[in-house]
Amino acid sequence: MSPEDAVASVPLAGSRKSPSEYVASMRGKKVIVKLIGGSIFKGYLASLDGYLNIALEQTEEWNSEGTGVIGTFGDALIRGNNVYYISLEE
Amino acid sequence: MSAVALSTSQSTVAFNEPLDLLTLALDERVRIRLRGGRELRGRLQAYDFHLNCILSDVEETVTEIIYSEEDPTVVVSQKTIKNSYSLIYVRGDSVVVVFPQGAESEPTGSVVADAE
Amino acid sequence: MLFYSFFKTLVGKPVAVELKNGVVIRGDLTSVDQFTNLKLENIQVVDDHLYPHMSSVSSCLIRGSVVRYVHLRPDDVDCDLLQDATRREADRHKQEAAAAAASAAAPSAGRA
Repeated sequence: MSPEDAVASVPLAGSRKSPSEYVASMRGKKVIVKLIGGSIFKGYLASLDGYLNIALEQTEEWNSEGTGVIGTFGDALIRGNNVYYISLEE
Repeated sequence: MSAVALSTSQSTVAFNEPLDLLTLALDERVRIRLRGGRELRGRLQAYDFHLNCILSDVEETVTEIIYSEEDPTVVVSQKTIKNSYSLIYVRGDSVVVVFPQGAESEPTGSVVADAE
Repeated sequence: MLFYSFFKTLVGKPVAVELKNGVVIRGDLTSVDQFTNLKLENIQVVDDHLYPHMSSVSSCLIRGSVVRYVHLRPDDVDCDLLQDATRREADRHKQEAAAAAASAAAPSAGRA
């Protein structure tokens, strides 16, 4: 088994998805984006590219503890280098 | 299978990229948050894919937060300084988030329908 | 390349470059390269009492990556031209990305 096959055979969130397929499947869903500065944005994922530049719609900014909304915006474009993680909101 | 995935995603990649938000924001007012507690509001005149920008009629807000020496999580004081500039070039590597202001009042949620 | 071309049009004009450490240097732009490194002459540091070591320097080359802002004079810049150039650059970039995606898709289609 080649290393690539070994990696591909690891189940990722219950399915065989590459990281880029995984984030592509989040399009249109409500996501949480945490930035390396500590700020947290939640919104509907409009689009993203290979640099993890992220466009959100109906964006909310949350405090760094994630306990309250501190601002709301329409669209937001996040520069990918600042992204710590992106995750689906449950 | 991967070829199918690629060719279906190709059109979305080609026609719906995050930076398309900025094409729509050209000649509109934007709010740009930068590293170091800086925020700019101005009219977007130019940008490239590094997010280097040129803004006109700019108001800059610099927020300085001073933390306690004993406990660096405690905020001792916070002060904001405002500056205005008629035209500036902003280096893209300082940019954190861009908020196009024109889109703020527009109805959103189209993306949810598109995803179905 | 958009901003490289843009800064080339400013050669000979006065600019003020604000660095990421807060130093602001005024001077005449004499040259620029593809990394937007900037060469200035007749420089003067704003608030030079804070940075006395710069007071005897008359020209410098600023590495592009340490720049935060470049303050420009509105009269030196044609904003309509800039917006057009930005749209053209965005289109060009998009076509290149689409071409790259197409050529990346082609070999795997052949395999399948």
